[in-house]
Amino acid sequence: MDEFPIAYLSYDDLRDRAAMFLAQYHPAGTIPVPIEEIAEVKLRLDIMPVPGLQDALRSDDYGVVGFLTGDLKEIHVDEWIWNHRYNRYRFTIAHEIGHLVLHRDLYQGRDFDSVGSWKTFINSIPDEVHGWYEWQAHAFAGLVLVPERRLRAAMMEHLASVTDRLKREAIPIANVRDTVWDIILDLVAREFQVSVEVIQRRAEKDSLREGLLPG
Amino acid sequence: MGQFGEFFKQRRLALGASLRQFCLEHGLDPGNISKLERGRLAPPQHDKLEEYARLLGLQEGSDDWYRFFDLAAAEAGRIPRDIMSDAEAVGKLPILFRTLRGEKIPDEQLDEIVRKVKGA
Repeated sequence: MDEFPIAYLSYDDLRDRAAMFLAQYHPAGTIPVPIEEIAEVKLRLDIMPVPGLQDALRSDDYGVVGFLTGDLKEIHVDEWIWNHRYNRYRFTIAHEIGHLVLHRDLYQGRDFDSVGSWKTFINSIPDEVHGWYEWQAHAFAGLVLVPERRLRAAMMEHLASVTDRLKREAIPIANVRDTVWDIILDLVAREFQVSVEVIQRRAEKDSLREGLLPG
Repeated sequence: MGQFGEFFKQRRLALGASLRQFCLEHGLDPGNISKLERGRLAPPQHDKLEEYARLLGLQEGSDDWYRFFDLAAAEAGRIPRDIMSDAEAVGKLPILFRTLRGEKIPDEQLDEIVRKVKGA
């Protein structure tokens, strides 16, 4: 077995994987996606708050403040994030589910006989390989929490509402295009219970601005 | 996981409540409830137990009500360890996590993560 098996999945591959995941675990399709319920009830994962985990992990490039345990049974999340940063908490859960769905092969069969052998393994994962795993879990999390069709529909709805208001105020949209876009990102982020940055990245990947607010 | 903790968790999930929702709604400490569910904390004394039973929607005098108290009584004498052994902890350690790109993770940071996992 390859020590670090990587499936080189494209963003579109991940889009398909996320859609399949949602079809299986959240067929109702409601927004916000109940990621905590999916994790606990459907996937039978224990989610547990751990005091001071953020300091121990010191956060990563993606701002993930938790991890999936090696036995694939628990997600540990920093307690402060759990209590005070709900959107980030939700994203962390989705990200770790991404590892569960996409990287099961890496986790399974790891039978460390000591903390020392775990440390050796952790530091033997090449950065490039780790980068792939993290990018995939990150993209998967965004696609699960912000499903493609629902994102487009929400943006259109908010754009129509903002445009109506501008018309009533006789403000040409061309003068405030960037502001309108920022407002829409913010409204959609609230609706999906994710950060504005997540919506921004998803909108970029789906080329939504060009279609909805050209110019 | 002990039978009491498992039953507690099943009842909570039957309410459709995540651990976070359940604790927020009732002003409970999620760390303690999580430990209780995983058998890492002994069931509490009677008054607290009764409060939990009601929060879990158990009807006084029902089979589930008695089962809840029986399971708690069966585990009352057990004193869970506060800290996992190394052997227990290795299965709970993370595989994928990182701090800053390109950095090897310092040994003391790995030790800190092990400490956190053992106490979780």
